[in-house]
Amino acid sequence: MGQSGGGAKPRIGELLVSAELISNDQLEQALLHQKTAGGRLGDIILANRWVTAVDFYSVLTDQFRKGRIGDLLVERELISERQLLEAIETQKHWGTRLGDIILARGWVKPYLMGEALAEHFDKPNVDLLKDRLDESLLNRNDLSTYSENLFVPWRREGGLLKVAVADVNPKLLEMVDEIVDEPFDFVITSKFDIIWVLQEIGNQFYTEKAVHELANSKPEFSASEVFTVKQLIFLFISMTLSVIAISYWPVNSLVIINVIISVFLLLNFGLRIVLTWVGGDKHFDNLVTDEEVVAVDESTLPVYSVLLPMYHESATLPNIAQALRSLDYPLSKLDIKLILEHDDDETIETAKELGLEGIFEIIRVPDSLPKTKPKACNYALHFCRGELATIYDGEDAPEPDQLKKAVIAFQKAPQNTAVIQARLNYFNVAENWLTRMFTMEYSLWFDFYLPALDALRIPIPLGGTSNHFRMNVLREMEGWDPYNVTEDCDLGVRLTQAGYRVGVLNSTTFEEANNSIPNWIRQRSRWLKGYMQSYLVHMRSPILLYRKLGHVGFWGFQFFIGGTIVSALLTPVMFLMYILWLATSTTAFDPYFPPIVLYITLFNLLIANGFLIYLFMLSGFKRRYFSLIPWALTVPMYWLLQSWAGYKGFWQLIHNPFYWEKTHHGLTTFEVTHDIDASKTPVRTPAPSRAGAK
Amino acid sequence: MQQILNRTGLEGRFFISLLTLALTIVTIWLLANGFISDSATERWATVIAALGAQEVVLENFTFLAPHLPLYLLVPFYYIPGLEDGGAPYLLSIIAAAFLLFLWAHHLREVELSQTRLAMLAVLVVIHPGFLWAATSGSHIALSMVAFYLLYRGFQHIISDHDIHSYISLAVTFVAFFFIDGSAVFIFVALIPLLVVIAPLRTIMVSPVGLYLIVGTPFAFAVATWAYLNWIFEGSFMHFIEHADSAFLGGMLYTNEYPWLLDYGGQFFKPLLAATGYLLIAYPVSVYLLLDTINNNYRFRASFVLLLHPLIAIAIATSQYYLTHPFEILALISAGLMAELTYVRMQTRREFFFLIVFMVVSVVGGWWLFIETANPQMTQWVQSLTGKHTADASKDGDLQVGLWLKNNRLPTLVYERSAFKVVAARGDAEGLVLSFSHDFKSAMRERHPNVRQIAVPEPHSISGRRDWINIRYPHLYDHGMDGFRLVYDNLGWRVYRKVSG
Repeated sequence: MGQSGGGAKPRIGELLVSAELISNDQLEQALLHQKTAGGRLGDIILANRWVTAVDFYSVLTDQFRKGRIGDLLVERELISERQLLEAIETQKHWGTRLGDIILARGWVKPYLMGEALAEHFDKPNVDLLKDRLDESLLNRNDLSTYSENLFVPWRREGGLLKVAVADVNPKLLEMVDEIVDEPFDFVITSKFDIIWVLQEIGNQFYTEKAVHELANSKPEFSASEVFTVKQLIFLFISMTLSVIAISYWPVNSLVIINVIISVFLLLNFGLRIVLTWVGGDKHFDNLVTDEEVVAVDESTLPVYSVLLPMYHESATLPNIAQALRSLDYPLSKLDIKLILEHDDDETIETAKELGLEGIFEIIRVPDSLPKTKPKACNYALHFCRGELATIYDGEDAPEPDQLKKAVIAFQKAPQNTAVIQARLNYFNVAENWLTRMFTMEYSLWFDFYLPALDALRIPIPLGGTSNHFRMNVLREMEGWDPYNVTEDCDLGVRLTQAGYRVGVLNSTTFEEANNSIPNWIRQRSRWLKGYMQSYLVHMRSPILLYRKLGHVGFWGFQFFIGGTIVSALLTPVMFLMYILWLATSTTAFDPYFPPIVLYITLFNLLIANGFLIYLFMLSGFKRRYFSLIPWALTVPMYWLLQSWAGYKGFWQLIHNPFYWEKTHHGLTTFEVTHDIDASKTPVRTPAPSRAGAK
Repeated sequence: MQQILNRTGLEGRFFISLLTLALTIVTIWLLANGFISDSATERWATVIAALGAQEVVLENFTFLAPHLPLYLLVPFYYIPGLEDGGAPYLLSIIAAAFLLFLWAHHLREVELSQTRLAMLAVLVVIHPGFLWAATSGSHIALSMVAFYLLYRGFQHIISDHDIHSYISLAVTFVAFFFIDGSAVFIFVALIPLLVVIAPLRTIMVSPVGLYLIVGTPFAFAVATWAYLNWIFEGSFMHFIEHADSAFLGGMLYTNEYPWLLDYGGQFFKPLLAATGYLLIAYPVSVYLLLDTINNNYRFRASFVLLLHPLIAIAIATSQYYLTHPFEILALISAGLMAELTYVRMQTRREFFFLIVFMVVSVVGGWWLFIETANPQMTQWVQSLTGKHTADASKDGDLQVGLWLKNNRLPTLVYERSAFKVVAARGDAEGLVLSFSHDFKSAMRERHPNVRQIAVPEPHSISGRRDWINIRYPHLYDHGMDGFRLVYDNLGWRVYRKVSG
């Protein structure tokens, strides 16, 4: 905050004349009007549009200011002298405004800060919940702009529009000037009042945008239509031809089908080997070094929005709040959105009880269908102010320097980089067999596959959390597809198609691995259903997709996304045939396995599966989870579970495509931490009383 | 470095090309002087038998020898002009050339001048271990490539300890198993040495994890092989139970191999003997060990290079596998090449001592090679010195093969012990060979329903192993009802079915 000196102040009119913003005649005219009709001289000048509010306050800010904001807060005994000194010292590093630092520290409640600000600027402090705004002044099309920039037209007084703002700075005034396009002055309010009132008034608008924006503007990318007519026709023709072929030429047809399946699985295996090799390059572990993080100038860091969608996760809220507070990033540059469903009173109450600092904002998502995480995030996107944005889940424990690393990674990355995916892993590694499998799978996925996909320019299916976006690109893409239950995967492919790059980052967010098989099946069936949705969406125009992604990207997409689905669905069929053959020594399958097919199948069965088991081992080895390595030998059982989930997802795709199969979190008894050592006996904490679901 | 460095690699590649040309000329010289490698002939015979069969299937290759050298020979089968059996020799030269080019490429990391590269390359190539492997048509040239990559993998683990080095090591071991039966012993020999290679911290934290990472793919490879044996031959252990299996090495013929007679079934004696061999044939590896004593990383690598082949030789001998120590000892040439890619020979003195020890190794190697040579090695040395070593007109297998080439009736012949017959014939078209259904059904009949039967003299080495002789023990001497003798020469007889 700027400072004003003491002593006699020059008159406003004289200052404006001397700055050549108004003429002497205009000043005389304004004074005359003031004499006859009363009112403040500044308001009269602004109302006559002789000068814009931006120019007006650029000359006169100090005229209105009363004392230093810090001194005002100390005077009001809202902060101590020591806190003030600490805030000033912090300001030198963070480069943000003093008020933001004090709010971020949680030393002063936002509404009290509003009062102090109002006094500082000599403007009224309004409580928007009591002093209701005039809704007729709002332009519905500008609701997003209001919420993103924290201002809202309040009332018209004395012919002059009063705009409620949570902060005052030239950039904001310029923005307001541009949007309201008429003379205005401002009043002070708290950002929470603005958010609250905008949500109340604009619920329908924000919801409509969150749910239908993508489907309206880019219907070709919306999963709201599961199968297009063309796809249904293609499916019908393919199935009809297959049935005819099998009826007339059963052996040959089945051999051809067998060849296609075997070769596909072989290539799928080949791709995974390539990805493991490429992704295993240690270069990817040093994309951003610790030295670079230490050397970063915090004052240059951008405002970072953190989206935290939660549903019935009150138990995990304190943990994630603490994890976010612990981030090595200027707190005053954090714009954290707790995105809570309207009916989730339990989590909303917990958030209130926690008395979170001013950097946390609660966004209540109104009840509407589909009730999905992407829809909630889309909704919250209208309230985000960051230049960059990321998403975390309630049970996440990101490494503290992740945001800084993401900023550096963006600086080092090509200009067209739209999103950078951090690694995901688990903190409850050794809880049971399932968490061990899940951990190895995630390590393989995020530590090997995704870096390789980045290197090979194959579309990256983003992970559910810890993806760091450039906000402008995210908005340009219309956010996430609310109808896609793996909206993250879909967005990664969409971004690549739009010519953006999806990068990776050597920082890990630790999550809670599913420790219950039914819960895991629910989660995995949703993921696989989402993959099917994404595949269907992006394969609506395969030739167009080929043109956009190129050879490697297209085939990489086929085998990485398509391969995951096909593998899951085919594994039990192949296993069943194998077990039947093994148990009965039947020769019934012989005609369908001519030598070359038999060899490929044998290769897939023995070498490919063997190496896929080995890849699991490598994932544990790279993460130094040595104790997991022997467990990798049991991974075929995990594949069967995956197939189960695959068939469930497939069934749901047909019968209930948009249903968001909930995953319960907070089931673990392990401590939420980013400091993992899988070889040690885990530190246990009492089990949370209520499990969350997402 | 005052000399021009090998930065572009062009000059290096030119020189390696010259060396490759020289290896080719040497091989032609050897073949011109009558040298024939049994191993090369056997592999080539297997390939032409498999590809010339009525139905080309995997099992035609049998599962009694590693398959990769056979697969690599398959393309040569379709190249005109190679039907006389030159392909295995060509493959050996290609493998040796590949190794040399790879080595020259890796040597760029140590910024070696052209002259020094040339000197090193010549000294590597003229060592009998390398020259024998590269020109004898055996699979050892391929084993050398595998061992080179293996040793580079060791080096990477020691210096970088990154995931690539472990993957490389594991995958190379898998490939090695499909190249050479001795890979099992090389793998087992590595087990105690892994503690020298891997970082101590990893070993302390999880030795099991470490061994699983290195060993699992190899174990899968062996299990895969056993499984294929079960699928196609009905027994998981077929490849180590069958008398003709290359995986048994010299186990069933101990008396034919002096090395096994002296040391077979023992561990420490062959270890000591192999150490003596190494000191004579590769003193340079001892020099490298002493030279690196102050460099922990390089010392560990040199130590492994020194000890690993010795332990492998001792284990392979204890299992009666190894017929001659040079089968594994020759691999040290490849290990040495890999070692040199990490040695910075910056000073003239360092390079001088290295060259001196390599020269001594070449001299010692030749002396040892000649002194301990088995008949095949002796034939190779003689051919190299210009002596004509073989007369095809006196080789019964070759002669019957040539006869069958001109009398192309469907012929029942047991090719596993008579691979030269098939090789001499040049193709297997019309032959009823042991892996075929016709052969198996013929063996079940009192009088085989084939046009011709070729059978060796039952008291010869191959005759004793011949299934036809075993099934029809009087066939050679007395013939068979309905068949008449049409060929009788140098221990082979062919009986032809009397028409009508």
